[in-house]
Amino acid sequence: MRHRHTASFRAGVAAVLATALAAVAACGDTGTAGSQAADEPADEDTGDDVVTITFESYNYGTDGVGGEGTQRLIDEFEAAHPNIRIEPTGTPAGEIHTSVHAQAAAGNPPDVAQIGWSKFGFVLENLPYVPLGEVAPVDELQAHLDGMYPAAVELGMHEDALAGLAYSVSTPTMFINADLFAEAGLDPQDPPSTWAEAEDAALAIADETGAQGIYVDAAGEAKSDFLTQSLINSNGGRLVGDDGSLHLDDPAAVEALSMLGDLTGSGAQPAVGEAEAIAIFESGQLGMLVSSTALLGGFASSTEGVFELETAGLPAFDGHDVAPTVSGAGLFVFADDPDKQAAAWDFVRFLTGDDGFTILASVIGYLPLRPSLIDDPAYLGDFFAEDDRLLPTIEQLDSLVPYQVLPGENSQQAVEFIQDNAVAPIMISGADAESTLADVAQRARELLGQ
Amino acid sequence: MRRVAARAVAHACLLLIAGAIAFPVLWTVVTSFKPTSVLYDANPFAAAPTLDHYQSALASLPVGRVVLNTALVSAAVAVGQLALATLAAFALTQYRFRARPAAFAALVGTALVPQPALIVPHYLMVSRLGLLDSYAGLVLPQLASLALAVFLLRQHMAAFPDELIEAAHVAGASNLTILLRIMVPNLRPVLSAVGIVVFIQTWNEYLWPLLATSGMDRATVQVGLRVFQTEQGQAWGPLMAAATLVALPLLIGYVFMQRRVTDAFLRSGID
Repeated sequence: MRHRHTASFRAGVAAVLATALAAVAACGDTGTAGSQAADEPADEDTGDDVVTITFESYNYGTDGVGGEGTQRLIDEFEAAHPNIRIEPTGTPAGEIHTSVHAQAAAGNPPDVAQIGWSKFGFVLENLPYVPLGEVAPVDELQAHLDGMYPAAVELGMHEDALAGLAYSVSTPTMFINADLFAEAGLDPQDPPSTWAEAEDAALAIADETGAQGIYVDAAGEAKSDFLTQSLINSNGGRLVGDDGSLHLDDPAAVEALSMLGDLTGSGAQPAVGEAEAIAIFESGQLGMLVSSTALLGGFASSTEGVFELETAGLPAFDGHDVAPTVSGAGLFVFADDPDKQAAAWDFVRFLTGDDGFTILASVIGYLPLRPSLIDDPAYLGDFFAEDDRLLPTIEQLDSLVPYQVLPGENSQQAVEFIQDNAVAPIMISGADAESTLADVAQRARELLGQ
Repeated sequence: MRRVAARAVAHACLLLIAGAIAFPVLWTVVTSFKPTSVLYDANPFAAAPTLDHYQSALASLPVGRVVLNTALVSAAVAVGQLALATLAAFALTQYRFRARPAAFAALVGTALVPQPALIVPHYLMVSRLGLLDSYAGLVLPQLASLALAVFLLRQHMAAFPDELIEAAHVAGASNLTILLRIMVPNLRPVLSAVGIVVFIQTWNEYLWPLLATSGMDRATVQVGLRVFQTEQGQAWGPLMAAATLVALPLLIGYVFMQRRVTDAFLRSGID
């Protein structure tokens, strides 16, 4: 009796489920205009031939200069293109490729997305991007690219096609606490230009002021691998060979990454993580921080009234020229409708054009990838005359080396594996560089199928 | 005398632990009132307190909106999971069928599937239902994550006295009557415990609300706070101010429901 299904119980279950489904359906009606089924056409062509394109960005909607600059870019574009409406979405940099992946699987990717170069391998392997050569008229695209740094254009190339276009790009820079420099008897206008000089200066700061000397932000989460690559490149090595093979345990790489451990071992560098180092720097207790130029806008406001902030280029290894690579992101087009593709190209062209890079550099602090803008008073001439802290890294753009993508579908996992198991232990925990890199390189090759 | 000393030592240790746990929360509040120039100063009174960070936080984040969204979604998931898990636990304890152990194992086993593996299927389902950026889209996939609720309720229902249920059957009560009139009232403490645990878990959920919403209309607290974590660095002052503001409703709720919340975690055996 007790174990028998009764009619009343079934009716009860049905009633509960019906109520739940009705509630869910009712809730569904409350979604915004932006919620649409995957196969439902987007809000476009509202009668005035207005095309709406979606834009997923990791700067959009954030507090401070990143959000303000992106909103200004969108506003100015819409003012100049009244027939195109931008529907922006903000997603953190670390999750934007996952978000686009999920949307693409549902058949509804954003029309344009800002995706970090460290995820470039993931984009190539997993996302349905449309090469820019397929959305832009050939002559128009070529004319647009002609004004950009060739190395910046090269960043987005894959198999002779332009997969994405360099947009919010930053390179390594050395942020300097000029007050600590002066207190230690150093000249902030004559910053260290080699790693040996940087270590000497760091030790002097530690001895004379009691503050920390230097921190190289190569062991941070997610995107610090651009600094790892920059160090290896600048010591005459490279992470990936022409045939796609991993060169993490080559002598040049071992020597470059040993330097990180040596800085910590000598007491010039604190054995802390990225977030702690940035906090120490912002509090005025760190002499030099080597990180991305993307931090400049934030530092400019957070260090105001704390200390005088200066910048310098990436230090060089003795006997080698610096060869930095980039962090930041490119713009990728995913639109498959011809009208949306045309609108997406107009948007990409604006963001990476003269007005776009002027806003990106002057408001947010990203690098202007068009050299003609730097001295032009109509664009960035006046801005740089007033604040030249971005210039040291702009001078390094001529020696820029494209970011190298690890091959294969496990590239992203391999990058994280190398950062977590080689760079961080060598830099922070005192692991031996040669044996650690040999071991990690072997395991990374297995992950990459080499 | 020795017993008094031992109690004093024990209480001193507990006070120390409580202080260590409370310190980050306290420092969050202190930091939210410190001017940017002394944000990292260890002295909480290094400069006169300011409301600048609160103004900035309120300008960047619709605090009331995200708190309301999170409360609605958390309440809907908690109520929905309780309803479904109660029915499932009743079936798993009161009906004998061959697949019962396998059904229970399968239900509880869903807790072992990592959430990132479910993101794309969830997104596909919600997208095809046209529920992206809606409360339903936020709630529906989280309703299915009820392994913990089923497990806890099943354990308590299994321990329910058979005699009471038999007596009810003899008196002619239906299964639905037995569930709603006899079991549910007696299981009220554990139901409220499970509800509170699910509510807090849903309140803290980040990845799914991030993907299922766009903009702030349906954003939850965890998603909203990320506007202060930018590529140009963390805006610690506004972040601490916003964290303080969104924590206030929970804190007030906790003051009134302190005993029940503590009981919930003790009963569920999780933290």
